[in-house]
Amino acid sequence: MKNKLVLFLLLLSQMVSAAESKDALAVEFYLPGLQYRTYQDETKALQIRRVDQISLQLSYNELLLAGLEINRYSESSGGSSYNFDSETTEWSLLFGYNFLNYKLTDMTFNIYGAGCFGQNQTQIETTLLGQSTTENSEAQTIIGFGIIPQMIFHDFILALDLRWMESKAYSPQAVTVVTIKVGYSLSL
Amino acid sequence: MLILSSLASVMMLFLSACIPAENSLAGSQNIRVQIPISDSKIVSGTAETNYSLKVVTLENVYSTTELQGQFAKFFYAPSSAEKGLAGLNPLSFFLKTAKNIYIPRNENTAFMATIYYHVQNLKKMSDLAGFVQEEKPLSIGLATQVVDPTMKTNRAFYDGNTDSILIVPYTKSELPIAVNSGILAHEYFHSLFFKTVLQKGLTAENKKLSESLQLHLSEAKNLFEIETVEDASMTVEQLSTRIYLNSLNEGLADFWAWLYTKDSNFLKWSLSEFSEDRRLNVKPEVREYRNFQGSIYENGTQFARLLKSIADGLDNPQLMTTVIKEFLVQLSTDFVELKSEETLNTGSLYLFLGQSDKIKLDENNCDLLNKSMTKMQNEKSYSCEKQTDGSFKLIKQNEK
Repeated sequence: MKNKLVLFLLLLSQMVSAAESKDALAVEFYLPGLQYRTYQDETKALQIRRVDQISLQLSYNELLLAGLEINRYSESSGGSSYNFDSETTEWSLLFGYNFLNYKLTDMTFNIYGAGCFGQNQTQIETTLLGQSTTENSEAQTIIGFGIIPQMIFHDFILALDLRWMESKAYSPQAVTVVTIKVGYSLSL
Repeated sequence: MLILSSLASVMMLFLSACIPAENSLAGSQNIRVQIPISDSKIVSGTAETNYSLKVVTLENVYSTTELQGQFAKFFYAPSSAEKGLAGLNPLSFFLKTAKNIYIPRNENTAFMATIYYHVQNLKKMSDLAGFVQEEKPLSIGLATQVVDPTMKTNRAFYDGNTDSILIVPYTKSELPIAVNSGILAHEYFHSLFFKTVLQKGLTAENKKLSESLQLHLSEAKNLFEIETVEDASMTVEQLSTRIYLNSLNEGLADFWAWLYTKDSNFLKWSLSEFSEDRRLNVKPEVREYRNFQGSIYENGTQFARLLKSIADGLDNPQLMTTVIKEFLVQLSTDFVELKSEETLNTGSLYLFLGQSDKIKLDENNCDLLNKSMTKMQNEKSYSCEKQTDGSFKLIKQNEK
């Protein structure tokens, strides 16, 4: 059933995209977005963390999407005598393919299927009884995929990026990533 | 378009296939971690201890996501089950540097890595001393929930029923108990005492007494529902035995902690309120043995200071680990053979030390042992005799 649904959506997208093709390249600028990620804490309870993100995307014919994202988040743990402050910085490349495009007067609705890969690195400062040491992790690969529903109204974009990502930086575990993106599409 | 859609599908497949596997280690491996370690050095004739972050090796680790291995396994806020602790195994979070060093990313992971390291070393130390233990990881309870409000924070316990070290949340601003190597060694010794003495003496006749000897838990009245034995149900002889065994358990555990860390004031890092009364860098003196429940730490500290004084006079203080082991075996025999109307000889440690062939006592320490025994037993039946190698031994007077 799931396969049939995917096939149906792909076929639908071919028809719609072919009809709407106008050979246009656009650059999409986004406000520093609000990104939230779920992760498991040490008790395996699901937690949510906010991540700072900046991103820039290119779209071709509202069919293909390519983007660069830079994310950063920090964590703190411990008491006054022994504590941990870490900061993770991450870059990733995003690729998307529009499998659903619907136009309604001034509004366009797109749903992209997206994949991403990149790297992240964490720096941690450990303080023990007033003495601090700083260490850097080796760069870790991140990889993920998801969908990006997008609404464009007079070149202004509101997008919701829903992604599943696996990153070794936050222990080896999958995270669910939700990013709310507000941006502007400039046709080239 | 078809080409594009095919490419997209292939890309999705590729991405799914490349998702990294979970970071479980292939078999058991040694990993290098950065944890707080105490280091004792002699400065101007006195030992000084400091804690600093050092890279050490954790041996035979099975997984770094739920840190466990040959020596320890961890439980978060555990409860007691029929065959040990029950509860979830907490996740551990490390970052790995380019030099393959694992750095704990949070407090709980640092606790697990540090405890694992010390349990691994303490197991080796007790093996060398001759203790025979089952080859299984020691269960460690973190964030253990305790009902008694006086015990629910800033404590650590050993529970013989589940064979586990239990650590309750630490709320003070000092060094957390979970990374205090002295306190961990102290608790580890309780496991040796339990397995060598108390468990073997767990006969039908003295079952209640043995259960009540799990000192910390009987104090804690925790979720493990250990039966606490009211003093009223015990005979005077049983009470006396209980106080002596508890005093020995505490005193020897403090001494074991010193043997492991060479830190004569290991409590000051985490429980500074107890450090003055329990520190071992105090010259031992002849003090009255106090035969009531509230005095077990006082008695124990006296034992520990005396043992440290003897160890200070040895070329190899670690020899005392074997001496302690031999004493516990003797104590175990005495305890097993004890009749209900009898009480353990409260001078047995002094006598054992005074007559051990492994220890070369100087005159001062021998004299201290002799006077302590005399004070305890109210009769002078031993004296210190110089041996051919220049050391001193306690000799029964009518055997001269």
